[in-house]
Amino acid sequence: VPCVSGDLPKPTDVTFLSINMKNVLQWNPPEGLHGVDVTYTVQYFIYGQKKWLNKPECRNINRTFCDLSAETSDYEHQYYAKVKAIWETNCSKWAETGRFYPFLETQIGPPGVALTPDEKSISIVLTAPEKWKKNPEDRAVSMQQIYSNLKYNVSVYNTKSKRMWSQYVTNHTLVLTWLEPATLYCVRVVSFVPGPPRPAKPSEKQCISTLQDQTSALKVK
Amino acid sequence: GLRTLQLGSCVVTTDLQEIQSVFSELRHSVQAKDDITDIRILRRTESLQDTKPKGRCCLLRRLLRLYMERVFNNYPAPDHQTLRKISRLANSLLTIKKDLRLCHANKKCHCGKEAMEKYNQILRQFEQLEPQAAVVKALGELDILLQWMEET
Repeated sequence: VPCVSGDLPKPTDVTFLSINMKNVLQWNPPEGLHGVDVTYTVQYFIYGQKKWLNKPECRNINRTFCDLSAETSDYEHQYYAKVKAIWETNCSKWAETGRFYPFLETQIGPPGVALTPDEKSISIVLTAPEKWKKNPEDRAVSMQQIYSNLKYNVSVYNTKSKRMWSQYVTNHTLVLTWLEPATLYCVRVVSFVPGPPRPAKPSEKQCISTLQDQTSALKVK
Repeated sequence: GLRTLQLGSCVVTTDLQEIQSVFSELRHSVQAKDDITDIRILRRTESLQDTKPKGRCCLLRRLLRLYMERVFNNYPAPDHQTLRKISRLANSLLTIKKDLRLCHANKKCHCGKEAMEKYNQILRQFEQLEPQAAVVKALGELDILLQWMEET
């Protein structure tokens, strides 16, 4: 049953949240309709093409987000999306996003971080984050394959001296040297791509202790 | 971060990242003014990637001339700050254009049939629009052009 358009206020803050090419449209309920049983319908549009397209799974939904990753997976294209609120026979006008360019806007998630301590050094092995994939059994694609200039900012914190430093790396292995034995160090890593600024989410803080200095251990005996 | 653009035998070094960062400050406001969403001027079929390497220098040189002569000069900047950013973009791209002219002088920027066909197709897309709308759309698509350059 077609609804009467324009009687309801529009959803607000309609944006794409994009991390590793997982592109989720999200919005806030219309002003003044909190608690009212509102549903939403989403459409999307490929810039340069002719028609708005439906996303059947996001038709008359109660939630305030819609995963459009599959529909926006060609990251060389640019997209728009829009959502309208529906309540009984009334509906709002469409609320639309700006032009969304996944290749430029997607957030690069943190890498996998593996730490291996020695007496005066810690080896760090980084694994690039994976691109969103439609099915779990699909072949994994690393974000490195999409962004050949992907880099990492490794931050290190010496919990004893309270000293912090960071360094940029492009390859996936790094050895922190000249460390103090038997000392707890904490590491956090952020992925980034040179170019327009993008939001970035650091890895979970990981802490590990360097080993006891064997030479001093022998003297004690 | 300097970046090398491989355009066939023409090789140019530029700070593409700085240009992208300046444009990203303008991007949403410029694109919001373009309400003709069913037309895209810079399409993938006419992209630098879709052009044989030996024709890329010519295609880019023509595109930069289009932007210099018909886009940057005619964009209706709403305020002084936007105007300043647009002139920063124009100056950065002018530097690249000068480097491409050197390549041309050294016979490394040949305009073959393929490159000219692609450029003329882009020009047709541009000229089918009302002039002001074309300028707004072209500037809004600078992120596409910069991406093509990034991927050469």
